[in-house]
Amino acid sequence: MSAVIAMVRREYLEHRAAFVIAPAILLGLALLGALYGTISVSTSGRFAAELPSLLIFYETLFAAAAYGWSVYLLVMLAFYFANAFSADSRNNAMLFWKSVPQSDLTIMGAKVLTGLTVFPLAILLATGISGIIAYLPAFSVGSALSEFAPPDPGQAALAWVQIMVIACVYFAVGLLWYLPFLCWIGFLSTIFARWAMPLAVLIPMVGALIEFMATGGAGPRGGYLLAFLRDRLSLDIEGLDMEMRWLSGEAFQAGPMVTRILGGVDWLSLGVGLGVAAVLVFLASEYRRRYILS
Amino acid sequence: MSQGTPIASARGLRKRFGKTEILHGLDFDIPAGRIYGLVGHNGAGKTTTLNALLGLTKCEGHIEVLGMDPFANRARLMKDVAFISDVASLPRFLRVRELLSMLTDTHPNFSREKAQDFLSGTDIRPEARIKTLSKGMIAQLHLAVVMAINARLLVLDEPTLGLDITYRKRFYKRLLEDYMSEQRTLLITTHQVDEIEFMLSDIMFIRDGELIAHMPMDAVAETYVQLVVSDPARIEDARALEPVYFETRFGQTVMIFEGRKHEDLAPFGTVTTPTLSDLFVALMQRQTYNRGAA
Repeated sequence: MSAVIAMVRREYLEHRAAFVIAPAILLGLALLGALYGTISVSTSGRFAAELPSLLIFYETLFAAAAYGWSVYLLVMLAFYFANAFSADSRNNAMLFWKSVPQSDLTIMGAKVLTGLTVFPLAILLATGISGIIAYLPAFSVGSALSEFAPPDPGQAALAWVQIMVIACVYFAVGLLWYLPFLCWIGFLSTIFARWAMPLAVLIPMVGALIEFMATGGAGPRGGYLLAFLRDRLSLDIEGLDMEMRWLSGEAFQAGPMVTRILGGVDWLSLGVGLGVAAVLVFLASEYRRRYILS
Repeated sequence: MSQGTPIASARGLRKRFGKTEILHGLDFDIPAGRIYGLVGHNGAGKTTTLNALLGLTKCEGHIEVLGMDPFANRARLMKDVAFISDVASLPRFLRVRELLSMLTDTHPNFSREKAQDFLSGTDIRPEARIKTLSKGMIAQLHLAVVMAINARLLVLDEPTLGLDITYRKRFYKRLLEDYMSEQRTLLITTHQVDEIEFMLSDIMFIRDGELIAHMPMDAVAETYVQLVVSDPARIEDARALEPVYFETRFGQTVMIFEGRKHEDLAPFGTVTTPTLSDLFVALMQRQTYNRGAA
């Protein structure tokens, strides 16, 4: 077990820039912006008329930031899988990693494990900090608008907890849902290195083209393959619409939202996807064992 | 493994890259407690042979290291085998202390204390990033790392390539004094054969993928004789004894004979035992692709 933890630590050290350093810079900029907002806030009368409450304003800001971080995490994980699965071949480092008494499957597994644990946790931490920073604009707007009082810190803290719980579940479900696609990129990276990202898109496109030529365009728009991928790439969960929430003025409640997220997932598809991800990681490790350096 | 069982053995070892056969059926046994030199010209197949022994490449024929098929059991084998295939292969993103920590957790036979002890006489700081170290320092670090592994077989492929003479001498001295014991076997390849000649117990010459000589160093003196003929009138008589190598330099004719007695050659000139580099030049005579002797 200590070996796997050591390999995960190694992945963290090698790829932390995208998950720790860059988010820290973004948070620093957000904090600066929020602090600047406290001294230069100006709001229109129309904004005041549309604002249900400052707690909702705070929740919306924080939820939007959390959603933004979830997108950031997925994009960065795609780059991470594209890089990490072939990074050992750079600078002849593969010769060193092959001298370590750990199987290729363990090393590849550690890469996936890092992508599922350490880096999402780092982004969750950034999300939590964003929630704290988001209080500053809410406070500034509350100070500037005479009709509203700044959100009560106790209520804001409770809202922070509710949104963090929702974010944790959403991140976890999202990661598991998109894992086969990430592993697909990783698998291609093992073989094609830097070409993994374009090939990850190009190969399904070529597949769809072949399908179109074979079937003459029968079936759903774009063909069965693209329709399946479109469906599988979207994680639409009803009730997470932020505009609706803003209009209704309803506060974030973790319990019902988590239930909605968990209930909205196609678990069979997610399970099959995890199986596909496991197969892709195994194939990548076998390719690395058999053909890299051979 | 019993006392007499070789550490490594190969029978009919063949390796093909596409249509080109690189190794043409090598047969050898490497007993325990020996220091082996594997010597050959560029592209002779030295690294491929080492890679086959280390389980890094799949070959035809039978190969066994420490009683195991290296390709099928690379991770297990690496517990007892240490190797440097390229001194620049250490992961550049790690700090020295991070490298040692990682190896402590991933390698059951690695001793962090020993590595730190080996590094104590160097300028390498634990906080230094590997990418900031000089080539010589990286070689020192890599050697400290492999010497801190309690391995039964140590494989070094051109370990001092690109290093200055001072460091090369120190490298081999340290290897002999601090690492080698009767329980350990060392297999080394280098083009600087003169520098390792003093430490070798056995030598293998490989030419164009074939093992052309394999013998203990004691037997080299008995097998090969160098004759320097100063009298031009005696050259043809000496050549009639069929030297394996013939060269005229600085007005003298140098010949190397295989299987001739010193006393048989003494009448023609000065008889000595050839150095490894003389023997290297003699045995590596071959027709190159672009015509002419290499």
